[in-house]
Amino acid sequence: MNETALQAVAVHKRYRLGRQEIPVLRGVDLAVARGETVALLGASGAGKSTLLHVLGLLDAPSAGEIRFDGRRVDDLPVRERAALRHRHVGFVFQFYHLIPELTALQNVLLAQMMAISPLAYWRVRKQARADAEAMLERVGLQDRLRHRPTELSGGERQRVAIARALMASPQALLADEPTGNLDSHTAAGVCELLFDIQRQRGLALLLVTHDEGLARRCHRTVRMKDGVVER
Amino acid sequence: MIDAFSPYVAWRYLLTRRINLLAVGGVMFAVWAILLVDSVFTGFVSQIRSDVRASACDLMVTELPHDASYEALRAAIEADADVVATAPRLRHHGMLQQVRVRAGSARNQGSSQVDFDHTANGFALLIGIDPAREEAIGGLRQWLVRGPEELAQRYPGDFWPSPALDETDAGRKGRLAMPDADEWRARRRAGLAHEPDVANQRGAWPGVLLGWQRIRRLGWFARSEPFDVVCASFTGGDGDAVLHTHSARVGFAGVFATGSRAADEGMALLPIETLRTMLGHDAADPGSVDVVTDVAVRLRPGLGAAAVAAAGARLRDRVNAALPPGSPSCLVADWEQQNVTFLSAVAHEQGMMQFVLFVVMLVAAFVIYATLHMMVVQKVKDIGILAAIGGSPRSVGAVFLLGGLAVALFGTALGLGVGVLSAANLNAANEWMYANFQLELFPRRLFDLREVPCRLEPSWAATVAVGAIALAVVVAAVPARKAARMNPVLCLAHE
Amino acid sequence: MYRLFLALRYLLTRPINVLGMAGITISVWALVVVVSLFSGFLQVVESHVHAASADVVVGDLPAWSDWRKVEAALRDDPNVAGVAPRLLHFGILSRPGHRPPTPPLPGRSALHGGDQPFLFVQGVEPVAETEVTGFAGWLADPAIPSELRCESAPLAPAAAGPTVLVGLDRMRRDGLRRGDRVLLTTAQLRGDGKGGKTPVKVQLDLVVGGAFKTAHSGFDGNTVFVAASLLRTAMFPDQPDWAPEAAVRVRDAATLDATAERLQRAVIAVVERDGHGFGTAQTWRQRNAQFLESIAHQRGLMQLVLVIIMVVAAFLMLATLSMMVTEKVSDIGILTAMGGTPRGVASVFLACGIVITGCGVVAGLALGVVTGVYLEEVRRAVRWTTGIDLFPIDVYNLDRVPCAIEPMWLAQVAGMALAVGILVSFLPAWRAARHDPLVSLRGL
Repeated sequence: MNETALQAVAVHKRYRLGRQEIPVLRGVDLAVARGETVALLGASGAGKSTLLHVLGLLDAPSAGEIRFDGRRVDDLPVRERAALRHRHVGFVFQFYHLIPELTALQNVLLAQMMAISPLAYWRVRKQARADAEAMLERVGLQDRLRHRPTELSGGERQRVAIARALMASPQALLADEPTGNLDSHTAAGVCELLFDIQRQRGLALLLVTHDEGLARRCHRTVRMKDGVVER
Repeated sequence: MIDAFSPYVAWRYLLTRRINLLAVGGVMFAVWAILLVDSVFTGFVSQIRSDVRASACDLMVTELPHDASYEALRAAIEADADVVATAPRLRHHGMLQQVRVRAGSARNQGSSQVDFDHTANGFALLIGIDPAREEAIGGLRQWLVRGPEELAQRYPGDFWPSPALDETDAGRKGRLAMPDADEWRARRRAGLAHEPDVANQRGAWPGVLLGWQRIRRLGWFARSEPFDVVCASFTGGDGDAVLHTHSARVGFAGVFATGSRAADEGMALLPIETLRTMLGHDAADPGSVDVVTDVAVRLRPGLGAAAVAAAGARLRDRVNAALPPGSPSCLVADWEQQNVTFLSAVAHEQGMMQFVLFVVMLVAAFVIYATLHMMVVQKVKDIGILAAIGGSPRSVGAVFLLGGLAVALFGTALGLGVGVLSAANLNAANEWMYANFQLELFPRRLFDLREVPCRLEPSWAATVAVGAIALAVVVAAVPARKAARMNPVLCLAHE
Repeated sequence: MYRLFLALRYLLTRPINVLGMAGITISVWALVVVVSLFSGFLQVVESHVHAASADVVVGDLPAWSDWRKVEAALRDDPNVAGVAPRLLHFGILSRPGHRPPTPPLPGRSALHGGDQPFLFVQGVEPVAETEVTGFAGWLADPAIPSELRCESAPLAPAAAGPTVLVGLDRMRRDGLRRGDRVLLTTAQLRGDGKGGKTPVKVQLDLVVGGAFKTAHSGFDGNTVFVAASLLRTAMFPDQPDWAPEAAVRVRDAATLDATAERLQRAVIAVVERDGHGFGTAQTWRQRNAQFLESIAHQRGLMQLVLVIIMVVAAFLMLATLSMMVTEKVSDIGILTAMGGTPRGVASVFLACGIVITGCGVVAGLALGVVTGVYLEEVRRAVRWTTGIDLFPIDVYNLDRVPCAIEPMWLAQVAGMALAVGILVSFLPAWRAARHDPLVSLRGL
């Protein structure tokens, strides 16, 4: 419980916009322990999503450090960072971000194909498929395997995205307004699933949300404003 | 190394995006067109080259002094380990006139640049040969087989094959002599003096072999049809040369086809001793020289181009050493140098064709580039997703590179398949087109050949395939690199 | 209006369309350049051949024909400006005391002849010949150095004997100079008293009167001129009224073929015997048809191959335009919502295709014309950088790469490219028109 899965240490992030540099994160410190759920609240443009991206190694911090399990990772080579992103964290986005050409099953399988050579994957493909099917069953989509994202409802799409994020058994889950695009009934279902899995697997969950109700269900709430964490 | 998802996603994209079919189609069409056009052209050129090759000897020692002696050169040349055989050739200009027939008045055949045809006037490039030695060089026998064949393919008639080389008596063979009875009949036909009884007729006429292009113009002759060979010779050296004219009566002994148009039109082959006698080097004279202008050389089979060139250089030195001091250097020409004018004209045309085909491939590469570029633009969000779930930039780029590769592979494979099929059925298709639409894509008349020559060389097909794929990879690398360098966060936010 | 506006916006904001344009440009460029090269080559060869030929030659006149009657019949034609008799024979030219070089190997002689020892001997009447060909100009060609130039009246006998005019290249190769004695050796068929004819050697002792030069090196190398009277005395003493060939100059070259046909009829009427017509009237083009056609055929073959480029360019256009439609699917919904008809939507994309094709064609034509005009410079640059000679100008005796840009061909290429461009624009435009606007608005 006290093991930190994800940690941001004095993270700064600036974006260049033309000649101007716009600071988005200005010295953020945040730690999420294994098994802990943290809600990240704040107004639009406060830097919540950026922090999530930086924490997930999707974006590099301009200054500061990112640590996974206490080990600094933001200075690793790009390939290792990509592998860590695959192994250590899972992303769930507001707009699901599924690949439209692939079926639900294929989208989930995709996560199995990361950080593995084509040949190695070929040897384990049957197992990978079975795992993906099991995972989709776990999120309640056992009869939607062959459907394309356009043929799925919003809630179903988000379930596929969650299944994909969990496929590589990550230590931490980074969810960026996972229910922001869903009606309240569907949102409740998705949240239930998310917390359920988090508890079951003992994951660290960092949840960006505008929903105070949802925030209250987390162990901890962190508010951001203008690129810093409010104490 | 790339990750397993790269080929997978590339493959899914290809299957789901019809636009890629267009790229595959473009590459296929280009590969097909290049293969077909080039195989026709290569077929044509290789036919020309093999014809020309068949008309030439391995090496030809030429540009000798006017009184060079064969025996002296022969010893020098045959001393070389790579030389298998040599044959003397005596080249001189002269005229050939059918006896007792009205000669054509000089007909100007038109001021055609390439086709100043002298055959109708009886002008001939007389080549004195030693048949037995020519046989050792090779070529002559095939020429004599091919001659009647070429005529038979175009005209009806009984084109008898030349018996000249089947003669067993060495002396008669050396004179290219026809059977005595043939000469008797020819004499009787022409109203010339002849024995009353065919059995008493002894042949006096040496034989002459004419090129099929000349026969095409003059018409076919009976065995031993008499001709008068007239030539002007010179005795003495430069400065005090004296012109003599000589004539000799020869009998038609057959038709040859070397495959080189210039040779088949201009050349008339006759026994070298006959020509030597006409040129004032009668073998009966004690001081006469067994004069030659060229020596044809056959090399050991299986020598590579470098070995032939080395042998040529050695022979040049040997011959120069054997020539009287102060003589200008001889030339040792390989088969290409023997036909340099014609082959270089063909090569220029081939160069032009290859330039055009290169442009075709370039535009086809554009098609691949355009489709992949668009794919990257449209798949920006996917690039972000792949990055978010752990794809390295390199593997993300590889998706697009593999996409381009697959397009090229499919296009090339289809193009190769269709190309091979259409090359195999080209003549049938050409025939069909002509029969149904009066349209001849490849006018055979132009090539003067029975069918459109088409030769799909596996090496060329492989070159085109590898070239097309390599080009595709190069142009695919640009969008792939662009994809790899994208910022995943911006990609995810892309709308 | 919105159609054109949108079409232009789409084009300008999408650089990939430049690629579609580039495909059209390249294909148009290649078609213009390569075909212009062949057309230019054909023109040059034609002009060379024509420069050394009379407009119409009436040949194969039979031995019994009367030259005066033939000439009168030919001059009777309204389009005939001049008629000259020509006697033809053949022979070998040699310098007494000099050994001529061995004839070249068949495969190593000049591509269009002229370096063989065999010659056509033309017996001409200089005054009449000047009337029908550029004979006077051939003798006065600026390339002929003064010491080789014919000084007296052409073919007038010199003190040492009758004169002969020799091609400039042959003069140089054989080291001949004006005033040199040469022997023309030929053969003549004489009756042998038994009804047959056998060749008899004839030698003419001649003096070199000077050099001539036409644009046609094959003609120069293969021909010598002597006075008609000389050839007649030496070779055809029995036929004082006969000329085997008549060279004709026409007034109006545009009706050359028709004139040749009239002359053919006129000649047949004059030299008819036993109901058979004799003599053939041929234009210079007909006499050289085989050679000229072979070049024209090569050009045709090249055109065929070049069209392949255009087909591949069409693929490229189709790809870029289709992708544009795919990408602008949401715009289609908006346009329809704003009141655009399917036809209007389609015309936006059609306009895009037409503008791309139009720009590509214009750029291709411009590039092609510029390359064509500076083709010689391009050839030199290519040879200098890569060592590859794109066109063997020495072989054809030219000082620059020939190139004839024919407006008709430009129009044909442009028309073909536009047709192809519009055709391939139709497919995506049609797809756009059929697209259900609701689908794109719903964002599915």
